[in-house]
Amino acid sequence: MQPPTSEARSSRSHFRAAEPVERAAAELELLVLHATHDKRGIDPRLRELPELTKPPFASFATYSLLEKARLPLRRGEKATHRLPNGRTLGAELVGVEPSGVVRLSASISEPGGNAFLPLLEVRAKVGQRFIVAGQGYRRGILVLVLTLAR
Amino acid sequence: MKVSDEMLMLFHDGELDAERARAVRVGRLHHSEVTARLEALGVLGDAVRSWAEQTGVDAAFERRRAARRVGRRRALGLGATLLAAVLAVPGTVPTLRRAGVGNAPADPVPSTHGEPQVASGPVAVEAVDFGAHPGAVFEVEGDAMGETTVVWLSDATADLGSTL
Repeated sequence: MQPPTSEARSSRSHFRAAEPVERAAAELELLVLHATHDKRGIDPRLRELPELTKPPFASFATYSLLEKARLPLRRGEKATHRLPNGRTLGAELVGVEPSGVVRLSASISEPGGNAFLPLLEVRAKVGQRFIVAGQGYRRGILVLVLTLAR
Repeated sequence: MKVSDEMLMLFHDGELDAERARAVRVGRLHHSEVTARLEALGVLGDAVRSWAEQTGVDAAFERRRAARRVGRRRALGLGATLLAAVLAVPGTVPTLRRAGVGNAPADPVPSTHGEPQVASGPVAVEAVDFGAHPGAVFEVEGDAMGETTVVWLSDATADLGSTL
């Protein structure tokens, strides 16, 4: 097991207690959607995302599913996924609370390595999802739907 | 004429003067990047405005809180400019429950009951750094799991103003 990063060690002391990797590991499901103003509607595979029909997402008429991936989350080990726009999404486990709540960090970097979204840290339970949206892509935007799968 | 993000926000809200509005229209005709920026900023503005209407939280309080957050984490360049532009648009008030808007990195709302709990609420944003881009954190109605947390980050930056 890799030790937590120095940042994690210094700022999240209540997660310092060592946990077996198996116990600390979690998994993030990633859906990469493309939203445009074309008149093609929402991909039937996205029916379980009512958020897309609510503002501000409802301002886009078309949602297509570009990619589906799973990112394993471990402490001190960033899982990455290359996005269609060339940027890279990274995700890493920060810790698991006794209640089962998972704390994870995510970031998006440019092809050259510069940060686009330097830091996003969230607390989530299994089954919960959050959305990172707004990056321009082919006359529309990318919508990243991230669900804590386990 | 340089098309700034502030101009695009005002244009989106129909509050740009005639001369600069014409410059934006010309820019949209010849530069797809201007159109993309306008759409991204427009959606961001709509989201923020929607939250302002729904929550009714005092704007000044939120601005002070955002300022404190900037002091606690990395302060960011563009943000102030665009956030000021967003704030300047009547009705566009960043009143978000859990996190910041613009480039103000967000911390959780202070809890008086010790460690904040996620419970059955939406995913809690503990910290966010939007870097050099304008962004917002808000929630939208989701499925049976309740509301869904959204982190909206635009490609626009302060230096993106295109020369037409």
